[in-house]
Amino acid sequence: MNLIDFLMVPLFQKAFLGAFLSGVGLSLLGVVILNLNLTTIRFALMHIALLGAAVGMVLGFSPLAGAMVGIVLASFLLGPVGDYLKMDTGVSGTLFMTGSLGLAFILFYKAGVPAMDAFALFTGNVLALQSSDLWAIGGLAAIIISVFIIFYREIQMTLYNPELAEALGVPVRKIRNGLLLLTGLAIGINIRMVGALLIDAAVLLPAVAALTVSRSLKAALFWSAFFGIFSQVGGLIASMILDLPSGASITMTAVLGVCLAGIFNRILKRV
Amino acid sequence: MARELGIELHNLVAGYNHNQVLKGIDLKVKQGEAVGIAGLNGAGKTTLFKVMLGLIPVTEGRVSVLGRDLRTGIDRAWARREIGYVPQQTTPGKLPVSVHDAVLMGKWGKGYGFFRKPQHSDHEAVGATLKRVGLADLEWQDCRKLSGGEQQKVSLARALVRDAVILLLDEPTTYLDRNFQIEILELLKEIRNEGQLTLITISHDPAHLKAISDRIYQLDQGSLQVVNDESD
Repeated sequence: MNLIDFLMVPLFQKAFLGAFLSGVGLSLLGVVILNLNLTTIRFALMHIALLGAAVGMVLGFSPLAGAMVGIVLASFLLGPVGDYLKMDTGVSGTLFMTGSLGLAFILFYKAGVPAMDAFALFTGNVLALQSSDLWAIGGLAAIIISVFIIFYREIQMTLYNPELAEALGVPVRKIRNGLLLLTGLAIGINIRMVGALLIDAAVLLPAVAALTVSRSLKAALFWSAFFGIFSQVGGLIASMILDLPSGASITMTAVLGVCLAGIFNRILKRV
Repeated sequence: MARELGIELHNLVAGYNHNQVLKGIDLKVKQGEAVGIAGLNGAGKTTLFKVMLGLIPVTEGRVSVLGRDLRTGIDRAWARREIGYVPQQTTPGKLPVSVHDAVLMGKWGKGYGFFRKPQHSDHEAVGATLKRVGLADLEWQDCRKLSGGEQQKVSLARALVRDAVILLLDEPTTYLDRNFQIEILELLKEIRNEGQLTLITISHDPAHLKAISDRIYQLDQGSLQVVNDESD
């Protein structure tokens, strides 16, 4: 089968559409994660996904549904709990991460749940996307893009210098918690596509590449979407042509994107 | 004609949780006056500014800006619009932001805000202010590429473009090399001599404070004392 043949199959059409929507919308949040120092948060969300999967299996529904519910709840709670306990988001993320992992293992042990079934979450499958998944990915991408357009200046100030933004009257906490919620939802949705272990490729690496070549937030968001599409769609094409697992192929394409951005940046500096 | 009050703190007690950093502060600064506040690290200088900006709750006493007591969130939001703030210099983050955009932030809540995009006049004001502080050539440069002194000028331009009545400057010359220290002090002297803005400057360098202040206070163990009053 060549690429055109693949594109005629509805399964692959859905996969391409999902990869495109994910690349264009969800990768924008990588810029937020990198600039608000939320890298521990994404680890926390991955472990909470595991806890959610364990709870789901104990209660008799699908581990993925449990993981999604866990992530959504955690996304709502991470910011406010950190504010209430007067903890830095990174510290509250560590608390959630370790706590949820401990609790997941207790559940596996006490309920006799096969832990490996829950760990299946850590490898995603873009070819298993349903129409409902596409609606979710597309809807969230539309929300993310709208939020960035409507609150561009406020997000810029919050990411640039939160203390200064607060002194100017920008509601920094509300914006940060809103972005945290979107980040959680983005991670939850991407887990289905690339798996929890390779989630960085979908969310973070496009932003790393974009920040390397950009001189403004607007440019960083544009390039983030570009590298997002490049890694997701390009990775999917590479996986079909070279017969590779889709998650790993998307990840390696994203790594290639970061390398290309780095080389481009060096050339630009010399000119 | 007697000048109206810019900022007044009356028997102010404030701090974080149960640690009261400021213990019974009294301060009156009239509009157009320039006041310096000296003190060692940890004396509560930055906390004092945060109280004036309404970012830290007052435990006891009263804060008023331009004669209006800051009692409610609405009062505090109003006060922030009248204050230009130059925070202590920090290392620039990872976010790429042009000098123009970094200065334009000063217009938030004044020229533009939620659901209101920056107007042409806001962009023009940014250009004029950058010219004033000597950064016109770097208007579209990425802030991450600027030197410490240039970044401090960006910070000052952002506070000036706000068209505020009061300017709070937190260690404006610290960590700068000698040339930039002189440039920033000259700019502040110029602003002071114009007499339009109320200047309150925090610094641990008494010589710098003396160059730009009518009156200098010492903040020590949470209380404030006058150490030098040129207006007498």
